[in-house]
Amino acid sequence: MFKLLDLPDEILCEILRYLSVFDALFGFLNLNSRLNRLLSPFTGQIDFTSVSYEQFLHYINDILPVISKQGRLYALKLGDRRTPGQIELFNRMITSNTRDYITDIDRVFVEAPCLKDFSHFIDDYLTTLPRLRILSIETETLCDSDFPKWTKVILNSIFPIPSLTKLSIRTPVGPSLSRLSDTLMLYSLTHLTLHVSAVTDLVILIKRTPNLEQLSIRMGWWTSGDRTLVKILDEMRSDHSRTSFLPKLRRFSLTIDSIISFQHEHLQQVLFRILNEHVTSSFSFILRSCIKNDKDSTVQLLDGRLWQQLLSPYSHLRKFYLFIRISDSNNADQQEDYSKTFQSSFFREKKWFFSYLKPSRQNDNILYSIANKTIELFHISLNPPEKFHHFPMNYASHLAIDQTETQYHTLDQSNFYHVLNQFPFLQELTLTDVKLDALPILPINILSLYSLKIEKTQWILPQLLFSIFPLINTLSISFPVFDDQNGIFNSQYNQMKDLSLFNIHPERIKQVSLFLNQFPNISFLHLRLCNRRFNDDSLLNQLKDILRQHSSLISVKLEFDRDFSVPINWTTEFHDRVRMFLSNKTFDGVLYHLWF
Amino acid sequence: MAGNKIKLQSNDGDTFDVDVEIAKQSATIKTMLEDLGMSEEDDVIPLPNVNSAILKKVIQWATHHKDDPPPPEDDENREKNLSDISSWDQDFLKVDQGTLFELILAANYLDIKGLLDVTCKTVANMIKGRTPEEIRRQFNIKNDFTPQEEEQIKKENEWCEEK
Repeated sequence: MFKLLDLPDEILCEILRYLSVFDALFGFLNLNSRLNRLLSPFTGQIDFTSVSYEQFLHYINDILPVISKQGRLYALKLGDRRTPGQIELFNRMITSNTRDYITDIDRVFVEAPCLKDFSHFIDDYLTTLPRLRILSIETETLCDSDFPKWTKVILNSIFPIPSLTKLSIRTPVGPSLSRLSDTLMLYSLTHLTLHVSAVTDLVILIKRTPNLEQLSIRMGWWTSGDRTLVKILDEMRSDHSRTSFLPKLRRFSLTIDSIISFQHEHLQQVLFRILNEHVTSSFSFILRSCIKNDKDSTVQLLDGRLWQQLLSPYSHLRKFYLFIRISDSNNADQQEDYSKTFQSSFFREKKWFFSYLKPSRQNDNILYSIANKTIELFHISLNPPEKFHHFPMNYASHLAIDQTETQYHTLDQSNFYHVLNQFPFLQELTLTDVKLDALPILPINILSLYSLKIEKTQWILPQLLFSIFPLINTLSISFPVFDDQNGIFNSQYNQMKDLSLFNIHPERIKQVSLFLNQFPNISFLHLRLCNRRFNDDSLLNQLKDILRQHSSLISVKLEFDRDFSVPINWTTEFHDRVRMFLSNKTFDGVLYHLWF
Repeated sequence: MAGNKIKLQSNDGDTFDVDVEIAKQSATIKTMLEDLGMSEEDDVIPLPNVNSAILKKVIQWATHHKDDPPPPEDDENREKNLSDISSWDQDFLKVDQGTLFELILAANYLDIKGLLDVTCKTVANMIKGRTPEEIRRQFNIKNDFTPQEEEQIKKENEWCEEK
């Protein structure tokens, strides 16, 4: 009979690519010399981001000593996003012995770090890495009280790391750079991705990063009325000795969350100091939020002639991505005319990329997506319902369909499937107020689609949902959508890995337990409970039952709208399962994140 | 040209009449038809690397998936999608290990990305979460280390033997 090792190397490598670094190493390391050789792409990288507590210990204590002998360990990925407390544990475990294995790391990726532990991680580990070139930090949430500390960490601890060439910091809110030390120059950086507060921060930044080749900036807000900006621009205007502060810049991406006031001339002056006429080949300008009823800004941002005037000095520019979203029903006809200003030969000849640009009527933005290429938010609005039938092929990875208060455009059975078929690379789908029970049961077999988020849907049978979306392994949904359907939780969905259930009333928690039994392989669970008027002990006991039933769980988020009257030590309370936990105050309650 | 058939011949001499559009899910066959100028009606396309039993399974799979959209090129979320195998494919791949591996080889030779994807995922699922010894037994993997290497490895593997 044909055996696994009868397969050629290229096929075995193909199979290994489907496994996480941990699973590949855990299963195959030291089975056979041929397999060891094929594992070489895995042995240089350490990825702790989806492992259980026990697996983490095995990795540090047992796998690291083995793989460190097989070649240099060069990449480290860790974080608290799915493995709460991991950075703290890493800090504790990196003793003088284990440190030797990972001193040659040159790229580090950190997901959602707990700030306190992250500071120690930087001071005790990152800054000791002599070869560190690439650092990437991502976090989805940042509470207001942590913001000054984050700013301090970025400015005082991360920016000064002298060996960094590529730095990416993606946070929901950007630091203010006004406190950046006057003497600090970031000479080594060639690639930078950063979220900043305002345009003045961008101007400060470009003076400190003379060797940048790629710059991607997300800015909280732009206001041309900022006195500091006007002052800085005046100073720059008087300096005739130089043009761009970034003589090597090839690509620049500017994403602005919102515009308070806008003057095209100010943008032109800022870009004059960033884009380089002989080098810069790509520029993208993305405005994430709608411009509403600001006629002056709208007129300037939608005028192709002004953009042509701004771009034409940069002869090397080959790619220009422009995305602007407008919601101004009063000027719909006028905006149609603006789009004609982009019809000149200047725009046609260079094949600039414009995203779908159309004002929405009645503020009904029913369809929007995150573009694959920029991973920034792209909103696409379609107006008349027939447009669904002409919707173009789209390579976005994230699509959101919002049918809230839809007056003009309703997704019916045919156009729902038509639209989805136009997204062959779709990975994440968000459906808001979409009446799924009105759809026929035709399975959506987009192989890349793994995540589904459902909001504001009244009611749906789980069987119907999983019949329409048989391939998803990540689901986020309000539990009452499924609840009060006694006896319906009798199927098994082996593929479900990551489940978030919201609006759970504790009296219904037994139903949740029954519901979860359908997912025997679940790794990550998020439950949001409305426990304001519920007894703590009873709730805790029921949660214990749930957590004990699911041995496959790696981490659980428990979110409550009221904290427990007596503080809970989860590692003591759930001593047979929980190994580490983090807690955070949320907008309306508390979140406990447990690692098993 | 809906309804047109071509003949595919396995390495043990059996021929199969297959709809052209179904056969064209194989990039290898598509290239033979389009670039090499093989005609659909007369020629038999020999497939020297695929036996009759496996070719039959491949045709069965391709027929079921004839209306699927093209599989994505992006590999970023591959690990995430490991379990995303449709129930039809799961049933289809309830075969012995030998057949599964031969299907992988055939999918690779015929360049059918969707079939290669789902068969490799199935094998990856058989590996995920298992200890080295479980994998050694399951796939009958022979140890080819020298005695000295083996002694060293034994020491290194003590941690998982204890489990």
